[in-house]
Amino acid sequence: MERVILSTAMGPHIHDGSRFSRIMNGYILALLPAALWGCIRYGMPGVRTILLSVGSAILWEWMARKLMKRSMTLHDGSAIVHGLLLGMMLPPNSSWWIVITGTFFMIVVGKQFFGGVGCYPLNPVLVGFAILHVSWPSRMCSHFTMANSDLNGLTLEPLEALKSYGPSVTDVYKATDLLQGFQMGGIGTGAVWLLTIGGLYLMARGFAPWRVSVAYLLGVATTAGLFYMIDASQFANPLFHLFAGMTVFGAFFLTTDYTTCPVNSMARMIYGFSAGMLIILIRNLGGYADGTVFAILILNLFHPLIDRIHWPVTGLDARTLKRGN
Amino acid sequence: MRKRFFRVLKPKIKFEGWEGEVQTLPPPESITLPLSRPGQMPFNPVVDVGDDVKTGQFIAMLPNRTGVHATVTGKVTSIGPGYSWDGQQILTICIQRESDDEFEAPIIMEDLEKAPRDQLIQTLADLGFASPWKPVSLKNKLSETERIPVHTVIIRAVDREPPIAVQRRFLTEFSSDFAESLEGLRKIVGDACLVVVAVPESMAAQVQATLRDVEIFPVGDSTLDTNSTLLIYKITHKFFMAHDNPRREGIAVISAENLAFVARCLHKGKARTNKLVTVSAPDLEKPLTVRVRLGTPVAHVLNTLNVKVASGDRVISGGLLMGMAQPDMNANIVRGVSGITVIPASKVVTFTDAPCINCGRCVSVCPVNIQVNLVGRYSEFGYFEQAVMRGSGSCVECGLCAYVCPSRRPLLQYMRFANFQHGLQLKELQAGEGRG
Repeated sequence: MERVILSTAMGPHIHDGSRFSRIMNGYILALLPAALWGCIRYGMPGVRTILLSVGSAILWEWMARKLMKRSMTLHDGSAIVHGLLLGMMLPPNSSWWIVITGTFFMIVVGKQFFGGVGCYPLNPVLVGFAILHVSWPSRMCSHFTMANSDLNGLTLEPLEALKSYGPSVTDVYKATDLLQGFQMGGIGTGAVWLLTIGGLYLMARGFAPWRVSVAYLLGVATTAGLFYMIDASQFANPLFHLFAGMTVFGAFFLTTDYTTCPVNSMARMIYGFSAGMLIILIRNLGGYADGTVFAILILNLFHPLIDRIHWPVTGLDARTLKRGN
Repeated sequence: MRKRFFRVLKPKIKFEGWEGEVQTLPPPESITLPLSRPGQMPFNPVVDVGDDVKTGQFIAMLPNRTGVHATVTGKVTSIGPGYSWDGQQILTICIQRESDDEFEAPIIMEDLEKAPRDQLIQTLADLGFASPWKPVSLKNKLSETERIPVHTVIIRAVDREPPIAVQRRFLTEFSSDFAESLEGLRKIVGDACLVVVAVPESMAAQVQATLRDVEIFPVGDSTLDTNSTLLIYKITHKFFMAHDNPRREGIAVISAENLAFVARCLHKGKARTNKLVTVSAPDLEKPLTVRVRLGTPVAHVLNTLNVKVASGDRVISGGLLMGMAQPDMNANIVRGVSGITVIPASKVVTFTDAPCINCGRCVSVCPVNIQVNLVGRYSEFGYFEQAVMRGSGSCVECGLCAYVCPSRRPLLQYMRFANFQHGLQLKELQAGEGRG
């Protein structure tokens, strides 16, 4: 009889078939409608920025992994997702060097310096965007870069308008327009309803932690509502805050980044809710028009701390802890 | 395995299509029986190499007279080191079958109804029953020996995981044996003792009508419901870690199969020689439950059922989530093993050392709320104390964390690794203290 050599292992011997690359594919699929809408609305400049961002992100990732002599991680699709996210957040007419610098700081500094997916402490997309935003504020304003373009509707970012002219602008920027995406801003961050569809798809597939997104939107709505109740003449209504700027984009695609968000159910809700609260605090009391990026970055720093809130481990009592010491 | 599009709920792997006749397989050419268990005192063999043995003959014993019995008629060919089904080195005895079964003279008790308790226990010990109903002697803090009587007996009439369907058959096909054994058990443990029968939910109503004097505990069909540790926890509200023995708290767990042999052996006066095993393989249409002799090599079972195994396949003793893949086909069927599962090479799952992406699925499926993402990393990088502090010792080894991990990290392996290494560290520490 032929000698049979068996493969040995301990359990489990089955797997539910999930893969990280599949989750990333889900993200790409969820982002595509909003990205396409942005491309149609802004035309070639939008297409160019998104493609440049994705392409350079892939290139930076490849170079970083090669130089560090690590296994290639391009196949998991995280570089594409990060490039797509950053591209969608940038203004349509961004200079090519803005995009390249942004993806460099995102992939090389924010992500690969720490070891890639699973290891970085801050969401690399936000790191890249924040560096650009702080370094070249004027070039990161959509209305500035699009000054010479011919667009229907208002050519001022709604949150910039709110900062400059006060809550009276909420009459000009109607909630339905904002919802449909007729607002200036990043290429893909405006189409709120398309982003929501993408986000719901991710939640339904279990690709994104739904507790974070829901708590985040709740946080935005409650805090904005409180401010509105206190002084309606000074602060905008919660609906405006929900639909304007990057709020929804952040809810479904930025806060839900696995590596930088907590894993326990309660911690996820606290994380999301605080991020939502912080956004409104920055918008209403701080210096920035749209606080989404910085609010989430700050919460990223706190995620290991928040993650200590979890259900007690069954059977883990003082005896075990003593033995552990 | 059914894949879910909406993967928000905890995964549940169900028992399906287990009904069907039990087939009895012919005895194999040779059997190998374990004479010791890892970490326990070995049995003393009372036969030598070259001796002829009959089916049911006493071949090895412990000082308290429970022992091992031959399961075929033939000649002892070797007594020496071998491997248990979970890969530990143990003492084994090998018997070559030479003729049809010749049975050892039965030990039949006169007047079974009126037999005193001690005599029942003694007869069962002679017939090879380890006695889960005996009180355990423990040294307490003052080094006094304490005897802890059994106050709760849990009878597992549920199987650990799909597709194994052995224990539940004792509620349907062999229910008369089972019911009779329960009465015998009641006689042995006394009236004050609580007897709980854990049965599958679907059979609870039917069982409730037939069994008296016992508490019925319906158990769901998912692997989380049927896990031993969790089952004890749900019934008694006491959680026992892997290194804890429930007997020390007066809780005995007996499988329905073991219990059913009480009545059968007492009536016939014969030692137990066989065991039910569920075989599932791609060659078989559905999982098949067969009766085999204890000590039968896996190769014999698979050959008889015409299951082909090629290089690279996995032959698992146990089920899909908690079983152990065997290094060769000579692994033997012993009392703890109630399933043989064959996975073809094309469906073998491999795990990698990819970094954790922190998705939290393992945490959400963990039945004992371990922070699997953290503990896995601690174990991976050698921080075993930290891992144990975070509760890796509570792991019930259900395997669901590795089942759902999108990075395909070997999480269950990490968990066991941390526990094992931490145990070694503690031992070294204690040895050092002893010297110093």
